[in-house]
Amino acid sequence: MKPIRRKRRMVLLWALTVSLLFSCTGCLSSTPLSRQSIVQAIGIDYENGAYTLSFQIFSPSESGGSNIGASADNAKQITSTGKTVSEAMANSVLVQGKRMFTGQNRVIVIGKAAAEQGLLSALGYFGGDPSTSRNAQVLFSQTTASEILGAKGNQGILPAEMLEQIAENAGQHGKIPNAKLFEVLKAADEDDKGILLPVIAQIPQDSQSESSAEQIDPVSAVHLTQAAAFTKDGFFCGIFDEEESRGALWLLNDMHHTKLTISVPKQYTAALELYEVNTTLSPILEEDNISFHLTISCRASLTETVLMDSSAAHLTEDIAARAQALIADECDAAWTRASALSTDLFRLKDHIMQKDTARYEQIKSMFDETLSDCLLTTSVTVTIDRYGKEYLPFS
Amino acid sequence: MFESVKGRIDALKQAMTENKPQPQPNEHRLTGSLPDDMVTLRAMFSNSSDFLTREITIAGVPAAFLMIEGMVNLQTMSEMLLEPLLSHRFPAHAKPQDICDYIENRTVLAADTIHVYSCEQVFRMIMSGFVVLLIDKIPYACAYGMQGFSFRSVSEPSAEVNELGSREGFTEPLRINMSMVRRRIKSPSLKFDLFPVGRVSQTDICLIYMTDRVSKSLLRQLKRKLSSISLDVVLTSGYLKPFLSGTPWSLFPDVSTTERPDVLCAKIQEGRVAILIDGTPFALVVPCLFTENFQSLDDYAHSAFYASFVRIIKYVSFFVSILLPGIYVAVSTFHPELLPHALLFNIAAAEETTPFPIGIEALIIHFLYEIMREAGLRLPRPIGHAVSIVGALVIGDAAVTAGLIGAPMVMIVATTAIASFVVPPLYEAISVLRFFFILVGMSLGLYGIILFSLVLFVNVCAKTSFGIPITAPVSPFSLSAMRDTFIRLSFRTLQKKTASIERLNGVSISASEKESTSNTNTDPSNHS
Amino acid sequence: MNANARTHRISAPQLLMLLFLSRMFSVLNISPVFGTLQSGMTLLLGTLISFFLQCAFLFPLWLLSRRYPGKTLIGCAGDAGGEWLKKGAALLFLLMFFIQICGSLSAFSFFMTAIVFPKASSILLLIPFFLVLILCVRWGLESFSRAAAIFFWLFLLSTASICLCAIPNTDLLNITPLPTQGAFGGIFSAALGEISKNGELYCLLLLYPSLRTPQKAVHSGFWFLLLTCVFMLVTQTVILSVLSDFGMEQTYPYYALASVVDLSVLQRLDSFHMSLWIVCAFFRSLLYVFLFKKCLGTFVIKKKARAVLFYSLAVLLFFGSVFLADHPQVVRALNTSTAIVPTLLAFVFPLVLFILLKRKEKRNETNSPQKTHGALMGADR
Repeated sequence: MKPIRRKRRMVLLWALTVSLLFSCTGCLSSTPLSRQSIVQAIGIDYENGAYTLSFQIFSPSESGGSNIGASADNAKQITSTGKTVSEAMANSVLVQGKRMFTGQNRVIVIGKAAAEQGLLSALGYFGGDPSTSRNAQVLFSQTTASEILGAKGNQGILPAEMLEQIAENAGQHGKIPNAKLFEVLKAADEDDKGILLPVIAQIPQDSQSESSAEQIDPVSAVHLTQAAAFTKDGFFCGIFDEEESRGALWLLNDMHHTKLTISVPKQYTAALELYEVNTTLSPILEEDNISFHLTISCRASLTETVLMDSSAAHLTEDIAARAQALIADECDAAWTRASALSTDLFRLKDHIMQKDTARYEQIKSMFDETLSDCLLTTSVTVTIDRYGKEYLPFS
Repeated sequence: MFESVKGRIDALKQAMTENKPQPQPNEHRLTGSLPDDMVTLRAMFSNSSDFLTREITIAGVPAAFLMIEGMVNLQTMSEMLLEPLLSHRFPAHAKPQDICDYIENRTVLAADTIHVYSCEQVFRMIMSGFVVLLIDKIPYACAYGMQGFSFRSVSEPSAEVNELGSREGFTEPLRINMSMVRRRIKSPSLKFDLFPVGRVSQTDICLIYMTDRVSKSLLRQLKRKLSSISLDVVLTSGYLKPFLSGTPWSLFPDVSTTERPDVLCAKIQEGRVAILIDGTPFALVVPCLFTENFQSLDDYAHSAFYASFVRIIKYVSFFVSILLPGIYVAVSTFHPELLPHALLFNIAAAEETTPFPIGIEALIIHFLYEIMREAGLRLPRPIGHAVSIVGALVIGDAAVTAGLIGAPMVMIVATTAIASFVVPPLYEAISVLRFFFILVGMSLGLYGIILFSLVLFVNVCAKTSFGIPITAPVSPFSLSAMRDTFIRLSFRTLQKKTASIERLNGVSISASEKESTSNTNTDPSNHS
Repeated sequence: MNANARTHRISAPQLLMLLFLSRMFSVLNISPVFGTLQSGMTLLLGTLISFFLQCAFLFPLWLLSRRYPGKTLIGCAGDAGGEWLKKGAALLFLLMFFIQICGSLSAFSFFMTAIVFPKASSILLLIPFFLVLILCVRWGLESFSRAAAIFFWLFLLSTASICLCAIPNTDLLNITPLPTQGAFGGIFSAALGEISKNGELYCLLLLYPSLRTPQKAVHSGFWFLLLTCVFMLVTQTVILSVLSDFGMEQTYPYYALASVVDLSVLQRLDSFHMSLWIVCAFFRSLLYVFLFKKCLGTFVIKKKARAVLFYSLAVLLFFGSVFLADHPQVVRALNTSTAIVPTLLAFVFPLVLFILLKRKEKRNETNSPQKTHGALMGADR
C-alpha cells in the first residue's frame, strides 16, 4: 500500500474512532432502567381546576419480585397534579425522583370529572408523546380514576395487567366495546362522530360479610358492564347500560363471539354460544329521510339447556326465535339511547358517505341533531347448528 | 514389436525427463566431477552432522549417496538401491553411463528417478528426504524418494469435526496430502504445481486445481502473489494468508482453510485453487465466499431437508452471536418499550441491584468470558477443567448472587457463546464484532446498531476474493448457486448444473479474458 | 468497452433495488400532501396516476441509453453543447444533490429527534451518520448496490410483517371516498406531489452507464416505478383502512401505523419502522453523495484535488443539514420551490439533449463518417 494512501486511511480511522468515542460520552442522555419508573396504568382526574394523574408503577424491590399478579405487592400508586396533563407528568418526577416511563403503559382510566373537560384535553398529551403506547386500553370511571387504580388486590393493589385483561375479555365476549388510545384519538380528531368507552367500576362489597368464608374474591373487585358515550367533540354525554352496550357492539360490527342466555319462565333456560357473527349496517337514503337496516346473521351452538317443562317440542326453533328477538331488542335499545343523546356513535355518517358522498356532504352538519328521526330496522337470523359435544335431537 | 514398445518407453522417459525441474540461471550446475561436486555440496550443508554421505565404487566408478540422517528409510534404501547395485555384475570396464542406464532401466526404481542438475536442486531434494546418487562423470544426479522421517499418521481432523463424513484429515508431509487428493479425484485435469516459498525455509507448496475449470486469470494472480512473497520462513498456512488476502485488516476471511481432503476436492472441482503447504495440515483455498463459512461436509452427508435446517440454524446463530448482546444493551438502555412486559420486569428487577449500567456489565462479562476461553485453550488438559469450574461458579453463580451482574446478562453471554461456536471459521470476527456492537449499542442505541450493521454490510459487499465478490451468490445474485447457499437442495437438483466459482462474478471471467487480450493488469482488486 | 471496467458494473436488478430503497425514504417519511388531503381515495388514485405519468419520464432515458450507452447525461451535455453546457449541467445537478442531501439528512434528524431520541441534539445524531456516509462512498457504487440488494428483501419482509399485523385492525369503512367537488384537482396534485419527490428519476440518467447492460436501464426504471407504486398503494391502503384520514394527517403516517400494531411478544413494531427508515435514509443519502462526488469530477479531474474539494464540500453539507434540521420551514419552502426541477431534469433536459445530439450527428455525417465520442464523466468511481 502506498504510504500516502495508508496515511489517509489511518487519519480516517482515527477520526471515526474519536467520533465514536465522543458519542459514547452519554450525550444521547439515556436513563438506566433503575432510574425509571415503569408505568403500567395512568388515571386522569380533574378537581379544583387541576388535573391529577395517578400512576400505577412497577416496583421490583417490593415483595413479588418481577411477578405481576393480584398476589404480588409490587405495584405502587403515586399521584401528581398540574394545571395540564403535561404539567402533571412533569411534576411526577418531583414526587418520586424517577423518570416516568410510559412505554409499557397498558391502561388509561379517565375519571368522570376529567371526561367532562373533554377527551382531547385529557388524552392529547399521550397522543403526542412518542414513547406512550398507542394500544393502551382507555376506560372510563364514573367516580375517580385513582379509586380504580387503587382497587385492592390480594396483597397490594390490583395490577394494571389484570385491568387490561378484564377489559379485553369483556370486549372479546361481547359485553362492552373496547377502545384503545389511538381509536379514541382518531375519533376525537375526526370531529364528526362520538365514541363509546368501557365503564370500569368497583364491585360494592357487602360490609356485613366480613367473615373469611364470605369474603369476596378480590380478583373480581372491578367489573365492566357498561359503556360511556362521548359526543363528537369528546365530551361525556351519557351511559349505556348492559343491554345498550351489547346493542352498540352489534351496530358497530364489533360482536364476534358472545353468549346469550334465553330464559322462558317455567319452561326452559338455554345458553347459546354465537361463534360466527356477520353484521351489515346499510343506509337507506330516501329523499325525505334516512333510515338504516341492520342485518345480523349468526351461527350458534346450543351449549346448555335446562328444561323445566317436559314438553320440548320445537325447542331449537323457539330458542333461535327468542335469541333473534333478544338481539333485535338490544340493537333497538342502543339505537334509542344514541338517538336520545343525539350523537352518532355507530359511524352512521361513514356509511352514508360510502354510499352517497353528495348526500353526506348535505347532511353532515345537522345529522346528529336529526338522528332521532332516523329509523332502524333489523333482521336477525340465528342458526343453531351445533349442540355442544352431544347431539340432542330436539324435535 | 519389441522395437515399437521400446520406442514408446523411450518416449515416455523423454517426457518424464522434460518435465523435470531445470536449473535456474543463478544455480550451481553439477560439474560431473564427483570430488568437486562433493566439495560444493559439503560447503552448502556447512558440514552439518546430519548430512550423510556414503561413497561407494560401482564397477570401479566412484559414486556417492547423499542423504539426511533420520529422513531416509534405510531399509528401503538398502533393499531397493544398494543391494541391486552392489550385487549386480557390471562389465569389467563399465562406464558411468552404463551404470546410470542400469539404474534407470533395470531396477525397480526406474519409474521413480528424478534427475537434478544443480547443487541447489540436490540440496532441496535431500532436504525433502530424497536419497541422491551422484556418479562420477555424470552431469546430473539421481534422486530417489525413500522418505522415512517420522510424521503424524492420518487421523481425524481436530478443527473440522464431522458426523457422517470421512475421518481422514491432512497431515504434515506434503506428498501424503497430495496423494490423498489424487485418490479422490481420478481426473486427468487435476494438476499439481509444486514450488518453494521462504528464502530460508524453502518450504514446498503445491497448487492444486482442475485445468478445465479454473480461471486462467485467477491462476495468474495467485502465482504472482505467491512469487512476491519474500518471507524467510513459511511454517504454517497463516504466513501466506495475508499475501493472498486483498485487504489484510478485514474481519472476514477471503481465503478459506481446510484440514479435510474431501472438502478441498469439493472446492477445487468448482474452479478454485487449493494450496497445500509442507509441514502443516491446513490447506488454503481461494477464492473464498462468505457463505462458505456456513457450509460443512456433513451438509452433503445428511438428507437435504435436515441439511437445510442446520444451515439456517448456522445463519441465525451467526447473527445472534454478534447482534444479541448489542441489541440487548441498546433495547434495555434506550428502547425498553420494545421488550415484552414480563421480560422488562425481570430485567428491571435484576438491574435494580447491580452497580453497573447494562452496557458496562455486558463489556465486563464478555471480556471475562474471552479471558476464560483463552485460558482454557492454553492450559494443559488436567488443569483445564478448573477453568470451567471457575467460570461456572464464579461468573454463573457467585457474581449474580452478589449482585455484581444480572441473571439475564449471564443468559445472554451463554447464548452468545454457544451460538458463536456453531460457525467456527468466523469465530475471530464474531469475537471482535460483538464488542463493537455492545459499544455502539450503549452509546447510540438501535440507531447505532443499525448504522454499524450498514457499514459492516457495505464493507463486506465491497470485498472481493480474486475478483469474485465475497457476498456472491447472494449479491450479485445467482439462482443456480443459491440452491446450495441458505438451503441445500437434493442432489438430483444439484446435478443438473455444475457449480462454478467463475459464474459468480456476474460477468463471466473467461468472457472478459477474451475481450481483454491486451490488458495486462487484470487484478480487479486494484481499485483506481 | 474496457473489460476490466465491465466487471465493476452493477446489474439492472441491483440498480432497481438501490433506487427503490432510496425512494422509500420519502414514502415512509411524510404524507405526499402536507395536511391538505381531501380523502383517502384521492391519495390512492393520485398514486396510481403518478405511476403512469412517471412512466413517460422513462422515454428520454430509453432514447439515451439505447443510443449512447456509455455516456451519462452530463457526458451527453458535453457532446451536445460543449464544455459550458457540460459544466452547467454538472453544476445544476450538484446544486440539486446538495439540496437533496441536506434535505434528506435534516428530515432524518428531525424524525430521530422527534420520535426516537427526543432529548438528543441533531448534531450528535448526524455526526456518526455523516461519517459513515463518507466512509461508505469510498467503497464505490458496486459495494452499496450489493448491500442494497440484500437489504431490499429485509425491507420487504419487515414491511410485509407490519402490514400483515395491521390486517386485523383494518376496516374498509375508514377509506373515505372521493369528494364530489375538486376530486380531479386533488388527484392530480397528489400525483404531481409524488413526481416532485422522485429524485431517483434523474439519478437514473446519471447511473445507467454504470450498468453492465445500459440498454436495460429502462427495464430497471419501469420496474422501479411499478414496485414503488404497488408498495405505496398497499401501504397507503393499510394505513387508511386502519387509521383513516387521521393517519395520513400525521407527520409520519407509516410510523403511526407501526406504533398501533403488535405482533405477539413484540409489543410495538415502530422500532421496525425506525430501522427501515434508517436503512432507507442511509441508501438515499449514500446514493446522492456518490452522485454528488461524481458530478465534482466534471470540474476537477485530478483525484487528489477532487478528494480535497469533496471533503470540504462534505463539511458544508453537514452544516447545511444541521441548519435545515433546525429550520423545517426552510425545508418546506425548498421542497415547494424545487418541485418542478425533477420534471425539468428528468424529462425536458434529457429530451433536449437527445435532439441536439441527433442534430449534431446528422451534421457530422454529412461532413465525415467518423463517430463522435463524448468523454466519460470524470472518474469511474
